[in-house]
Amino acid sequence: MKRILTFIAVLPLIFTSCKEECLPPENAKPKVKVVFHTTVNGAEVASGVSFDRPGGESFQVDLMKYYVSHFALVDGTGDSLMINDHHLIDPINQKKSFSKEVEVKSGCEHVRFLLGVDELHNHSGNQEGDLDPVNGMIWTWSTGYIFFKHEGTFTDATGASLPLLYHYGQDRALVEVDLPIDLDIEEGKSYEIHIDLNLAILYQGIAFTDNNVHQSAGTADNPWIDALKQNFRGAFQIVEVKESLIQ
Amino acid sequence: MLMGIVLLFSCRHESEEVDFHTTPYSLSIPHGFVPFSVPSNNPMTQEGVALGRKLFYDPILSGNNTQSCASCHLVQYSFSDTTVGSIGIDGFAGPRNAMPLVNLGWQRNFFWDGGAADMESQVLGPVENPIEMHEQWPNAIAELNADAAYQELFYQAFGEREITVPMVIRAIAQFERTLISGNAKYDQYLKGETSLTPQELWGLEVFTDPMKGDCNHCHSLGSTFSDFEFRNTGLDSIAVDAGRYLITLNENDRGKFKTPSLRNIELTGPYMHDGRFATLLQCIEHYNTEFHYAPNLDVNLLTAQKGRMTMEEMQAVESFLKTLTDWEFIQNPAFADPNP
Ligand code: HEC
Ligand code: HEC
Repeated sequence: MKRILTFIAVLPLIFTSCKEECLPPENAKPKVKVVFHTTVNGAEVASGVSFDRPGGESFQVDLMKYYVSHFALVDGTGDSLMINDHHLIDPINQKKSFSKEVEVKSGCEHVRFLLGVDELHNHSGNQEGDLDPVNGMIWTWSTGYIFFKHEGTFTDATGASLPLLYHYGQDRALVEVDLPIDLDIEEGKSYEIHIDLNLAILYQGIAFTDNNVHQSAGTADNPWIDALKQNFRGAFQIVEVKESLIQ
Repeated sequence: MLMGIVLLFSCRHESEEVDFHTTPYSLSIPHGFVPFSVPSNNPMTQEGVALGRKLFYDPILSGNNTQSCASCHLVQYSFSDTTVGSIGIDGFAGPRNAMPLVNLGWQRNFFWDGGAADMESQVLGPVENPIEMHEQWPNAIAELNADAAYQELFYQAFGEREITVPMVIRAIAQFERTLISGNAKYDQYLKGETSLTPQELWGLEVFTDPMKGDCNHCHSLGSTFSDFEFRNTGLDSIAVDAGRYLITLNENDRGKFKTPSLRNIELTGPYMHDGRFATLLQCIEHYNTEFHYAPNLDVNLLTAQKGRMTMEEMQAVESFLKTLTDWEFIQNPAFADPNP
């Protein structure tokens, strides 16, 4: 008797779990995964690796982190599929992607996202997940997130090695990125969108010499913020879109 | 058999969730004060407040485990200290005087320059500041997580044993919101429970007289005696500490500081953002004759006559300011160090 009762009690459990796990794959919700590759002309950054730049200079990355927010796939009518809220990309520690189950959507023509944290979320440390202050991406003297952080060294044309410390942020620094894509999101399929952030383009025309420490703390930083902001728009590129059937 | 295990698991899980329940903490808002709101992701609970109080007094949050919040915010001085202060936030500001912590729930932003945009975010500053507690958050969190007693307290307050930064700053913010003062002699006078002396009443009159003190223009009477605005009071002709400018980077904000609360002001000297004045009379004298015509000098002072108050009137204002001292507040057992 007891056995039968237990069985009856468990029965609904089996059914509910079946609803989620035993669906025929062709009806499964599509899934989109976004992967960010942080590179110098295609070579992924890694700790201790030196990258050349024009003028006989080179630089290294000890730490690099940045926020990607409100990533969306947008169709021709402006309708969008949101893929994330806020994610911290940390290539050195292999934290490079995020993914989400979405509804079907055909005719996606753009990928849009923010490099940084939108104004609504930028001024409180009372937040969880990737916005948790433990990530070291928030200023404590003036509440606001560091959108992009690069700490490392650079070697100038004379061979002298100097620190490189870029903490890029403030509301004015928020970058809206818009990239063209041609994609239909269909039932039963999963997608991977690979995006490259090319530091060679990001740092194009940015002198490191006498310009190697910026904290976005004063008006003196504004020309540097504006130049990077301009470069960020062109520094992201979709390098690959993969499509597969959900098994 | 397998099913039995599944059942057992789900059972244990449930009973654990049943264990977790918090007791709401109702703030005692003094008579005549408008209640303040708390963020929806940090409701006030008995467990949260008790934990925040323990953390406030515990040096575990500092780099070498020697300093707690209470090292600079001492209850007997309305949670401020008696040193002039040589502290700046991350080296961006000049020397700053520790601020009293009283009726913070009514404030809009924190620090002399308003750099912290909410109470929870404010807690992030002192812990990491190299001149304050000089700790890195990941270290502080690791230390807390290594302490089973703290894990239990955090579980009771937030339902999670794995301690995170948002949990720490929320607990301390909850404790800070309880630091309410509303039973000074002046409050008792408003409630009709006591009367002010003729000298104190005269001081109140000078304090509010637009041709004399005009103090309430900025230090508005009420819960906080502040309008929460940023003002340049002409302490220097050229501001040493750029104040609000450091946050907004707007030239018009150079040399502006948050109008501070005047509650318990008798206990919180030295005064001003850099602790330059030792006495209240020096502060009043500053507004009467000493202020400088700095760029951005507040228009209320720009148009004020120098020397408009007599010495007797200034002394009366001083007497009035002392009616804002809430002796019950500094002796409140709920604010004392809970750690043995
Ligand atoms: C070394 C001394 C020191 C320590 C330790 C310290 N503070 Fe402070 N506190 C200050 C100073 C100085 C200021 C003013 C800072 C400024 O304006 O730049 C301040 C300001 C504040 C304010 C702003 C009050 C207002 O009216 O805007 C709050 C709240 C506060 N501290 C809470 C804390 C908490 C919580 C801790 C522990 C986590 C702490 N403090 C640790 C010195 C200290
Ligand atoms: C124009 C606005 C304004 C007026 C008018 C004003 N204050 Fe202030 N008060 C401030 C500001 C802003 C500060 C902080 C200044 C700083 O530290 O740079 C302050 C600071 C103080 C302090 C020191 C508080 C502390 O915690 O260190 C006292 C005391 C004080 N004021 C009393 C008075 C009195 C008394 C009057 C009238 C005679 C008055 N104030 C008029 C804006 C004003």
